[in-house]
Amino acid sequence: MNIMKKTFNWKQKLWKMTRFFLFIAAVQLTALTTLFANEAASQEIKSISIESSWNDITLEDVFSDVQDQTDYTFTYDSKLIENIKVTGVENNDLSLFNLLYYLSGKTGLQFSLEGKNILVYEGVNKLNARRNSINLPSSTELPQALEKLKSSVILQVDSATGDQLISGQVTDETGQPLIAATVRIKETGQGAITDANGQFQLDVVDSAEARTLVISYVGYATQEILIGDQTDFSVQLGLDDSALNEIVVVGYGTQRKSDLVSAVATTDLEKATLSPTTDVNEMLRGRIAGLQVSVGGGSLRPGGTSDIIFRGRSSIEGNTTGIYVVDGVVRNGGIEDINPDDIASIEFLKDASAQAIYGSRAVNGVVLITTKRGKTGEIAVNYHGYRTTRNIERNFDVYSGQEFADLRREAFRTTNADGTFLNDDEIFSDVELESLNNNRFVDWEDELLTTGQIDNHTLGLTAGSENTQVYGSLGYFNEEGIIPSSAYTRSSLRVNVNQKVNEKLSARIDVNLLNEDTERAANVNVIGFSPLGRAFDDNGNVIKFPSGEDGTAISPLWNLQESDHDEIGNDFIVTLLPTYEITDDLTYQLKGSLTRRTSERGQYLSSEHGSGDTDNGIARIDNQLREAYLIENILTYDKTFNDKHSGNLTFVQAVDENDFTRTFTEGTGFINESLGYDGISNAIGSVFVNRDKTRVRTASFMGRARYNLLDKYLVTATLRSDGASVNADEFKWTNNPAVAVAWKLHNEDFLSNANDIDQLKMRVSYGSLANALTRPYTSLFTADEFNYVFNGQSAAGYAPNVILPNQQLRHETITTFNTGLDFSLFNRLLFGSIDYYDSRTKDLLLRRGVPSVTGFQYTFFNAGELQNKGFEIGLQSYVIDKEDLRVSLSTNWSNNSNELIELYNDGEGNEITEDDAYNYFVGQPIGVIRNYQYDGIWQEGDDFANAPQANPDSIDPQPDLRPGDIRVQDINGDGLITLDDRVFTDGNPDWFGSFSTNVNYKGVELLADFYAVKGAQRVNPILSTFNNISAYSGSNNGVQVPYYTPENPSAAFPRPNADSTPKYLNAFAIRDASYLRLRTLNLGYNLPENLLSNLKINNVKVYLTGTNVFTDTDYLGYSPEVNVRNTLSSADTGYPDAKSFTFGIKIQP
Amino acid sequence: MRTYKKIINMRVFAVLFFVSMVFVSCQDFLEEQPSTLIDSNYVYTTEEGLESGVVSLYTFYRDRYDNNVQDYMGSVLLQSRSDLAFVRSGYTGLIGRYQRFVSPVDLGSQFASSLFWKNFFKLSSKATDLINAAENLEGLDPEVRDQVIAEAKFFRAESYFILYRMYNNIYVTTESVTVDNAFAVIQDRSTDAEIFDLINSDLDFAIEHLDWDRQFGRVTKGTAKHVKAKVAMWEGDWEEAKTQALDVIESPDSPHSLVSSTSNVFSGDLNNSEQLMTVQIQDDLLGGGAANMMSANLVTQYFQISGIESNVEQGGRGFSRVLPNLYLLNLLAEDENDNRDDDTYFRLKYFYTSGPEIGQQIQIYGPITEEDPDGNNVTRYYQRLHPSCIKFANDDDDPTNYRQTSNIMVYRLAETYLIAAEAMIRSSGDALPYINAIRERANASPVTSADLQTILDERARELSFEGQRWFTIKRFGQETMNFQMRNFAGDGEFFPNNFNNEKDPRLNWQDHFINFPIAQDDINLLGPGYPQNDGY
Repeated sequence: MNIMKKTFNWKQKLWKMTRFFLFIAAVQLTALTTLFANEAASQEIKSISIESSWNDITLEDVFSDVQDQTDYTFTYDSKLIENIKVTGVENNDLSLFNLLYYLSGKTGLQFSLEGKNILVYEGVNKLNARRNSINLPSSTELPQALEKLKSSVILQVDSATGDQLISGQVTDETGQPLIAATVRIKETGQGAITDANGQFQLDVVDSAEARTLVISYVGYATQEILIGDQTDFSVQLGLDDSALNEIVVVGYGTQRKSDLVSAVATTDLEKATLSPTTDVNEMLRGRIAGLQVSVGGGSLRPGGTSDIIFRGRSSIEGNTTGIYVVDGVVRNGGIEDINPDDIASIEFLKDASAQAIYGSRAVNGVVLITTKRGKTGEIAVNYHGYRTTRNIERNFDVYSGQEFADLRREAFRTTNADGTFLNDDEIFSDVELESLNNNRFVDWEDELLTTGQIDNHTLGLTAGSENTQVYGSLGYFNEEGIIPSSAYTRSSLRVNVNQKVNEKLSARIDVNLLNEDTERAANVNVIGFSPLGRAFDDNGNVIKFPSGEDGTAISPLWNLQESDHDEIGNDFIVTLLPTYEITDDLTYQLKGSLTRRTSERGQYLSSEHGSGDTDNGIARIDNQLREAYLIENILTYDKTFNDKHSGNLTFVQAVDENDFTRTFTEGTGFINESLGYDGISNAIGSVFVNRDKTRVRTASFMGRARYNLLDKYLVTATLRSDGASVNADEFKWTNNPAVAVAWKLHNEDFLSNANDIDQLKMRVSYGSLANALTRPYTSLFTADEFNYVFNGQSAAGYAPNVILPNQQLRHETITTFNTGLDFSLFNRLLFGSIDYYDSRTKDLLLRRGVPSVTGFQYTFFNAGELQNKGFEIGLQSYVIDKEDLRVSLSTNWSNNSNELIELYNDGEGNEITEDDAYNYFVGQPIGVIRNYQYDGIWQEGDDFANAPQANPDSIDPQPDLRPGDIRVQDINGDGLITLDDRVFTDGNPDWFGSFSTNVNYKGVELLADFYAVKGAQRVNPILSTFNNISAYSGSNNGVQVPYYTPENPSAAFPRPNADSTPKYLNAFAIRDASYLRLRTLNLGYNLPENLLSNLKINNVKVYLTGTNVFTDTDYLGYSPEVNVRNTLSSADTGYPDAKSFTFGIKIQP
Repeated sequence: MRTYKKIINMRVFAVLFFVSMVFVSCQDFLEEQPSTLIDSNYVYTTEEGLESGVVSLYTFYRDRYDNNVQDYMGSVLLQSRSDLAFVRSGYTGLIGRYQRFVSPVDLGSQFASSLFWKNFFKLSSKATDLINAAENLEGLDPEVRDQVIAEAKFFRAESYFILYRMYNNIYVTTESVTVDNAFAVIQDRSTDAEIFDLINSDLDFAIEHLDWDRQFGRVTKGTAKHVKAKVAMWEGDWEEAKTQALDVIESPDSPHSLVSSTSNVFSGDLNNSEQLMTVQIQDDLLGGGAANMMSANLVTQYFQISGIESNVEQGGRGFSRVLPNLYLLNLLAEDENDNRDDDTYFRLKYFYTSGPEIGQQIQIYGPITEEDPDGNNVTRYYQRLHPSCIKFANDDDDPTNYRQTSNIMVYRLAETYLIAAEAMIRSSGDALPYINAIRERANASPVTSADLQTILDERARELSFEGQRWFTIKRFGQETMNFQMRNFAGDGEFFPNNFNNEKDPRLNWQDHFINFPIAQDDINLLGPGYPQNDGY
């Protein structure tokens, strides 16, 4: 600490003062206050005595009182000292020095004396304790108290004749000027604050001492720069996303993270965007505790999208996927249009109180996506490009040609009455025999799979004048899939405009355009197709029946060449948000958004294609139009009543509508096939047209009150009313309340001296939300078409179909209790949060079977109760946080237990606890696997005579039980296998989580990100599909396993059987799908600045990323996350996961 | 000034807010108005609606044929379970060999549930809804009312009759279903008396109100009478059976007569004097239904042999799943002049269509016979060269494809003749003319005496693979069924792969298989005491 003599240069001061006032006036920066006192000679501030009988007053008032008591003034950014309260001891005199020293220690603020002016900075060590309630000790206790503190009070002399004048500009991460950033010389304590242009000037007093320039700004990482001989500095600060004061986007507004009352998770965007995909959900995997990403059903295909499941499935037939709120506007359906490079932040709302503001669709989690916006200043351009190569990843082999032939021989021997092998010529076609004799086989993986490739380029631009700020970006993404003819190209354009109309009125106008071009691969059977035969003839042409016509299987190559399947999509999303300040406290905002998505899918299966040959070619054109609009009226009243109370009221009224229209046309029979699906008008066969149109509307009213008492106790209460068109007539509306409280323990007196605790906050929330059925018109009595033909003449037929309409259909209600703890310890060496939740869904929407004798199959019905409960832990640590070396660790962990608590009563009031048809069992989770307990493989010499499976009184007796069959357990020991012997297997993981470590050494960054799932159970189709890929029948190839033969009796796999599925194959196939995966390994290098200074570029980063680098699992398949079905396809049956490597470059101005 | 400004601001705001509130506060905003779906009220409260409802009943009746479950097993499941068939492969094979659909929990029972149990209950209850709506709709033209009710009642009776004969323990009702009564627990099956009372009264109404001559494809008085005769046979009411059957055969109003030769019975679109009920399937026409593989299931894969292309004349493209067994082929061979196995109903021989041996019979594989006890590549023979039932191969079928779209015969007058004959044998009257009418048309020598075995044999020759055999032998009783199945089902030692092992249907047959198991899923929805069939 330096205490310097100073002389005061009033001209310089006056200049500074004028500049401050100018920019305050010019930009109306709300929170910068500057005060100056009369010129006075410098004094030893230690000798100035301050009367500190303050009783819980704001720091601002303390400063003001000190100003009154002395002739010193304070210069500070009021954002810095917001909410800090000070209590002193009556009639206690402290020296000004001691006061500042103590305040610095408790708040992390730094004080620097320039003449009679005391500059207030954010501390050098930004991680310093940030206490919001300070109790000044008495003068007797003070020396002891001061010893414990790490403080920073810098007293300096402001020299009129500095040795060296240095100046420069401070900008933010996008290159826009940062106003009121603090620039300080570390060694001397001398400092300055930047002006409206981000410019600063500093007259260095003792240039010999001054070696380091420290630049800091709230919310940004502090930078230190060696001064040397340099006099002009251009400094760009990067966002500091770990700061406690981080501003978090919550529904209808923002909040300081430390003021959050609800469970809100923020995504580490840096890590998230390392995944080379267009699927934002996939980026979120492992980033948020409690969030699972479901990647079945072709979501890994180029351009595919996945679903998120948050805190387990809280609904059976209602909506289960989270919603996306992009820049404050609720999106229906996916967010395919969002270019990851446009995202500024992603937050996730977890508990009912946070979600309540978004209402009925928010129960399954809300993903808040904020896109980048323009800033005032010069035009700045940035670029991100990468190239990725992808290769299939698998942990199994398929049978080779000879192995496959042996398998088939064995399969037929099993079914032969006398147990002998059949002659090869009875079980192999001529082509297959030839293949076997020549030892020439087809490797279908070689023939069909390729190396996938992704190219991505995003060019972003920000510009802005005082009243208008614009962010624009152009994106291009192209992926060639690993399955031939699966490809995806996306071009996107985003323009975000902020326009200030006058002092009261401003508006946001965002436009997003997207063009998608998808090639959808035909189904490709890579595993199951027989290796026997030939893929190409001598002339290199594809052979239609590679194994001869016996098998009738048509070559996947053939079908690929004889089919065409494309989809073109266009999205147009425009959002308009005018905001009008009615008074200083009262704001009105209108939110209007229109989404319009059109797509056209064309498919042609030629007359040679396996599915098109019946009809002499099939052409299909599928036109879809989705239109959604949303209108919200939002009224916000924000008021600080006095020092102790502040509050905020929000009223929202919202409506939205989702329209879906589809026209599907299929024409068959083509004489000239050259036009493909575009020739559909020439169909000479049948033409089938299907028209589908649905409209779903919701309306809601919401009121929310937030209240903050003494910055210790925070309360949020929400009441909302939701109406949904899908509900039955008399049951459209549901009302739901939610309340959340938080207690900032670190602001309490009893913790004010606990220096190891930076932050400690308890949160509790309780509230309910409504959730509606996703499908419209189920409460209406409608009829479907069942047309017929009499003697060649069409006749129109109509009848209600299998769903019995329920005229009491209504919302289900999901009530969630959530309690959590946010903490930060040891100067943020360790920080994070822990949450526990218990969520109950009542009036559960489910399918209820009705007896077949009614002619209907089921109805949608409200009944029963479902529970989800679990823990979530998120931890982070800055192990080393130095200029040259930063090491951080972060991990999150969650578990969830899902249980159906209650079902419904039968028509006579008796409780029903099981529904086998829809798999609902009281006491078990949704989607539980109920099957027999696999118990090994029957072996020679086992007691077949007394085997429960063979007992004729068993429900599905196996009189011919023999070695090689699957054995299941007689659970109840009654000597029979009956339905009672089935056991439940919970497929949900016991826990899942991620662990990542980040090392940054002199511009070199290394990130490793692991993801683990423990205890998940699944029926593995590789083991359970009789006819395909598990290959027990020998007719199709499959995953190689050491199957049972009389010569090599396997204890783990059943005996092949050409004729019938081994019994209990599904029980056998229930397998543990736990895994540990190194999802991301990233090595990045930031080019040294001196290389770039001539190019007017601040930052160039090159990086290499490996995705799915390594997976440890016992689960056979391409990936433990994606079940392989018999065909790989980009449609619905599953696109395989891949291992990929990416090289990328990011350029920022 | 400032206050004034503020007031204006407040006004602007108030107007904006109010406008948007008005916009949504009307309840109409949340009302659902589907624009591409028909309101069921149309079906049940208008004349055209009721008529369209009747059309839908035909569609439900057709559903099991063009429903692609396990290679269209719905069209051949009943055929596979008989004493006349050998089932070679596929899931239908497992069912036909009594390896599946023998337990309420196996997959076969689930397939059968969707194709039969659920489907025919759906048909009967949609019919009930139409009947009740037509009965109560005021202002409906009485003639239309009777037509609608008559057709609906026919289908209700037909569905219950099929269900009863398959599943035995069924529940019948004349009440329409609403959400209020859908969950009323059904505690017990209906009694046989309740079932037959309902079936008979429905059929009586249909017989009374349906005309003899209607648009081809519609059920007629003849259809209803034929079914009524079958019901009467089941009840043992021989007189009634005789009356109804003879009415169809001989009534001066009846337009029905046997077609002149066996080769004409299944030719063309089946719009002939013999057909009593034909499921209508047609290409390229709205309501024409989907293609099916009924014929492909029954025809062998001869086209696999080089030098022969599949052609409709030889049966079309098949995959040889359900085949006539030696027992049936021998019955047909008893009279060497009987032309029903001369490429009319059955085809025994295949011929090269190209290459050096064009026109010659293919004999590269051979069955096991006394002369050739080892056969010649028997597995291949059953797969590629075995005699086939070609009743459902249609002239305009696509020979390159397994899937076909052509009409399917369900009931025809030949069966009425044999019902009449049987009823006479069992009561009084001269059955011989009726049996011999069938035989003579097939160029077989007339029989001079007839007993029940004669009927069984003749029904096999004439009607096999048309889906009635199971019901016939079941009607003859447990003993007959046991005897036929244990002696003739499958092909015994002639197909050694299956002989005397788990795939031998003769060994697999158990007495209680006379009733099919009700799938566990269906049982679960009924009351806890609802009876599963004995033995399951």
